[in-house]
Amino acid sequence: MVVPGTIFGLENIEKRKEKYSLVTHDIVENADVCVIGSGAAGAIIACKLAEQGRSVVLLEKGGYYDSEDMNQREVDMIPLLWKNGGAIFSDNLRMVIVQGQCLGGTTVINDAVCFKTPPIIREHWRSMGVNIPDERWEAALDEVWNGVHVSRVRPEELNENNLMLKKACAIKGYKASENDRNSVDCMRCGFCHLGCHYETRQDMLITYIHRALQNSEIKMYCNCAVERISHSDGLVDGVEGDFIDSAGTTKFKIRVNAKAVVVSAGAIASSLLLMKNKIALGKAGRGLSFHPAVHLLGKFDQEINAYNGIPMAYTCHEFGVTNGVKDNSFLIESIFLPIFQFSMGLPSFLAEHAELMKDFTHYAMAGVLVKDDPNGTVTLTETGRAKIHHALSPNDIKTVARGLATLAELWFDVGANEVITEHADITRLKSIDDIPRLVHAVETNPDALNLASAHPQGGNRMGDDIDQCVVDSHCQVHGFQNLFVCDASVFPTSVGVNPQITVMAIAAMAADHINSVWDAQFSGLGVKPALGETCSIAQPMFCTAERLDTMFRQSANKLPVETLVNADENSPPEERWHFDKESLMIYNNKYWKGFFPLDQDFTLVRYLGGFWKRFHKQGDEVRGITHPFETSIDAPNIAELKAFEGFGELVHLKYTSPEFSIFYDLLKIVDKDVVLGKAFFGLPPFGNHILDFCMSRNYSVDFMTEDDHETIYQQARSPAAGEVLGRWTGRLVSDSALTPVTQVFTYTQDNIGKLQMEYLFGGLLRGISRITLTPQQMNMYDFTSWHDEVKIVTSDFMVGKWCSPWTKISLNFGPSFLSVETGPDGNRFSLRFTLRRV
Amino acid sequence: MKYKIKGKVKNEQGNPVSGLFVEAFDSDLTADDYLGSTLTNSEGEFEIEFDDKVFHETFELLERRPDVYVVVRDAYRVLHKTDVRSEAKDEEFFDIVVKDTRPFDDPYANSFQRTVASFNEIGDTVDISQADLQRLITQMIRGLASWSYYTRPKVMQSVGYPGPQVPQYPKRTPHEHSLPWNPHEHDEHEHGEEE
Ligand SMILES: Cc1cc2nc3c(=O)[nH]c(=O)nc-3n(C[C@H](O)[C@H](O)[C@H](O)COP(=O)(O)OP(=O)(O)OC[C@H]3O[C@@H](n4cnc5c(N)ncnc54)[C@H](O)[C@@H]3O)c2cc1C
Repeated sequence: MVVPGTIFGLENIEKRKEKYSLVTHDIVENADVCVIGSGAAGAIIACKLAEQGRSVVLLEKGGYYDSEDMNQREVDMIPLLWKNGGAIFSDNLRMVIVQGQCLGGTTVINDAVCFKTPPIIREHWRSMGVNIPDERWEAALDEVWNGVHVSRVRPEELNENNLMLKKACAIKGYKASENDRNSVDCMRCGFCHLGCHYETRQDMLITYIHRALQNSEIKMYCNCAVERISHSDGLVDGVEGDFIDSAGTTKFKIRVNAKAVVVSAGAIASSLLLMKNKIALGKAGRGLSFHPAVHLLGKFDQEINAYNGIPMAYTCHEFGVTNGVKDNSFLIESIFLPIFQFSMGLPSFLAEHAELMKDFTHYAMAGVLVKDDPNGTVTLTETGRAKIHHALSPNDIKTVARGLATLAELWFDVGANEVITEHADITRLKSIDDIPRLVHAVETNPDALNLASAHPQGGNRMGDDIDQCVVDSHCQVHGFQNLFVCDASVFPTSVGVNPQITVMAIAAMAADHINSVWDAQFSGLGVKPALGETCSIAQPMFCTAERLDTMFRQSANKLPVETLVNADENSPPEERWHFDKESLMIYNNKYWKGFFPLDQDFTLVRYLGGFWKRFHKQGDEVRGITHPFETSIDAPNIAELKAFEGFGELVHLKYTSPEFSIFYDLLKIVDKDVVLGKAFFGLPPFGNHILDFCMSRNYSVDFMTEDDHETIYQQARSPAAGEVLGRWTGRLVSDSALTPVTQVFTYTQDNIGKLQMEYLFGGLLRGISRITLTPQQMNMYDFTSWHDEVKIVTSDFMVGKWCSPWTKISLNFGPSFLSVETGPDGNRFSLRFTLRRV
Repeated sequence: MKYKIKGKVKNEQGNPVSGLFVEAFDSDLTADDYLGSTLTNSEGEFEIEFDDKVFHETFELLERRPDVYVVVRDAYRVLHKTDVRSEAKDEEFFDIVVKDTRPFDDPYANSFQRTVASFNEIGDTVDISQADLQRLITQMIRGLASWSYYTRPKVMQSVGYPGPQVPQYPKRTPHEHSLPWNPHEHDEHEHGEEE
């Protein structure tokens, strides 16, 4: 059978297991549902929706790597599979947080341990407003349990490491058991964290993702980081993302227009995405928990060879939610790590470290999984990243201390001659008598513990209370008709056991809900075919030179040469120029604004260059001028439709004055408002091609000219203090191509209500500005003699100028990107910019 | 007089490729003359007809036959350019195979650089003033040492760790999916111990 679904991505890796296609250009998709993230939740939702006939587009930030790409080497696999190469820390650098970033998400690097959501947790969540009755939980848990082929580890599959824990629990009489795992015929290679080479772990890649590809026409785009969810009035209409290659360069853009959007980017990333898009502000990013894990090594005389075999196969339930313990609960789970991660976890360095590593084969290892309080937060930084704040609560500290004491005792019980800890003040325990010292150290100096989290949860709390919760019990975002968040981020508290099965069950329930109300609530929603920032004939200013060239060759000139004629002074003002605040689009028919390709190599052109062309009818002829911005040149020309060698029929723009007659342009009018062009130097038809360009009557404010800026500025008003609070990113206004974001402004109010602004310019220059609000505009002053004047256009868009002091001197000498304004007090320079709220 | 350029475009698997943009040119000393363009049909076939007037320049003295070649593009780029056929016959046929010429990527390339770049990505998510500097430095040294030392096969083996079980490039190097220890034997051994 031909597989109908396809994975797309930037990397061209040989022998793909699934049908795979390269992304080589910008993409616009229209679909029923867009799912963001392909982890435990995203893959299941996408699969279940696609199998019920929805057209689904899934966007995944990481790449697609199959089992034969997984080579068991930490140096190779960590950068491919782990989010940010494993380098994610809480803001005080005390906790490292590991998550997966690849097709399949964290399920591709996890230990395959499976726990059904414990009944006391479900009950507790219900008391917090999660309306999921036990029957629904049970049905969903059973469904995913079967979906990922869970089975119990057989006693004979335990290696020495797991057996040590088992023996220790038996001595104490603690409740304990082999783990359930989503694994079939496990090879026990010990490399779970680096992807499963043997395809025995039943991660999303080989279960739900494979299923979706087999059974539906799903499209999965990898290497695609979603940045934007566009919405208004509680209705989401699409998603935009960037295809980023392994060197970190944005190669292409995608826009997905969808009737429903599901955010399954995982804890932290999902909250970040909501905050970036001003969704659930004030609620998203709160109440995170992490299951902070602390490990103890027991050193034995005999060889344990813990690396050899299933790392996590045995658990002590005695003190855990799995044994009905509500408060200060923890699990003790056996674990082992590949050697680099192991070495990183040792609390020593240099000589002592080498000494500890020497006994690598003699350690048994287990960790304490602490059911912590949901006190963590994620906030959005100026540069759009996630800042994670976490501190152990007094309760958590007690639990950690108790857990460590229990585990240390277990190791000594089975004959450990030493126990190695991750607390900086006391790294080695020689006997049971040292345990109180460890407890004391943890309680008095908890910051000296190395913490690691593999289970970030929460941040977009589920529940009825719309003031506290981001989503309802169906994962639908409060206040939104067609937006869902579904992943570990919706947990109201930590779940107290390894979370993947709970995540999967919530996803299965959310998918069932969406399917059941699809016809009634979603199928009728009209999908606006928006283009985002993707390159196409309709918006060629987003195209690269190669793409413009190909579009030029493949498009026919569609309209008569008269289409070029611009409005003149006698035309109604609306036909000359207008600005739509809603869409932030400018219609400019005073002249044709020219655009260079996005990848035009000479950077300066962006700020200095640029041109416009204006056409009028003169008798039977269409005549015009080409005017490079920032110059006094008006090059007259005449436009004629004719067949041209090498290109077929198109408009030949001939320069009529002698000094420019050595240039000519070829134009194709491809739409009533869009022209594609090529400029040549030399005699037609044998001129040398100089550059590709395009012209459009419609463009977004990100491309505005200085003229546009002035008009919009005149019509705008002074903002009120409350309107500017928050963060804004700025672009300099250039007359040519899109200019990059250059500044970030953050407005805050102090306790007496006074506004102030913190600026970050070019990612480097940082400072604080004083602010005054006048009836005309908002003024901002820093330590220089220049100041900013800013006016507000819409709640999310402002325009401003950075102005020099007024002077009587004539200023006609300055660089051209500074415009010169003249007023009653003389002249001044001003550098124009726009601000968009982030 | 009239000329015809015909052809068929297939991919490397031998399947016809439809919807490709085909342009024909006459190779010339000054600039190549455009002869015409079309799209390939569902069978991957195309046909371009032209008159010799198109390529006879006004100042060309000699009667000559065109030197034709064909360029095939998809919506985004040039996929194939044929060799020039001098003195074309009245009808020329081009059998064209388009291939994805992009070489395979090495998934593991620059892994060290990428890891270092990850640390740049930390950016403003951490607040160094809140951190315990001495511990941080210790951790960094340990991190670097571990990364550069314990990922080397010789070093791993020196502490008794056999290391990876599969070749570095599993897709290029034939290998067995079996482990250095015999799982079956291992099972029995453990069984014995339990009893
Ligand atoms: C080392 C390790 C071991 C673990 N072991 C176990 C275990 O044994 N048992 C267990 O139950 N749990 C385990 N877990 C945890 C478990 O795997 C996760 O809790 C679970 O996978 C979370 O699912 P999720 O859908 O919320 O997010 P993930 O599975 O993390 O998926 C989120 C996906 O979204 C993508 N994404 C993020 N941002 C964007 C964006 N802007 N655009 C597009 N895509 C984006 C990410 O790349 C990722 O692929 C382990 C975790 C780790 C790190």
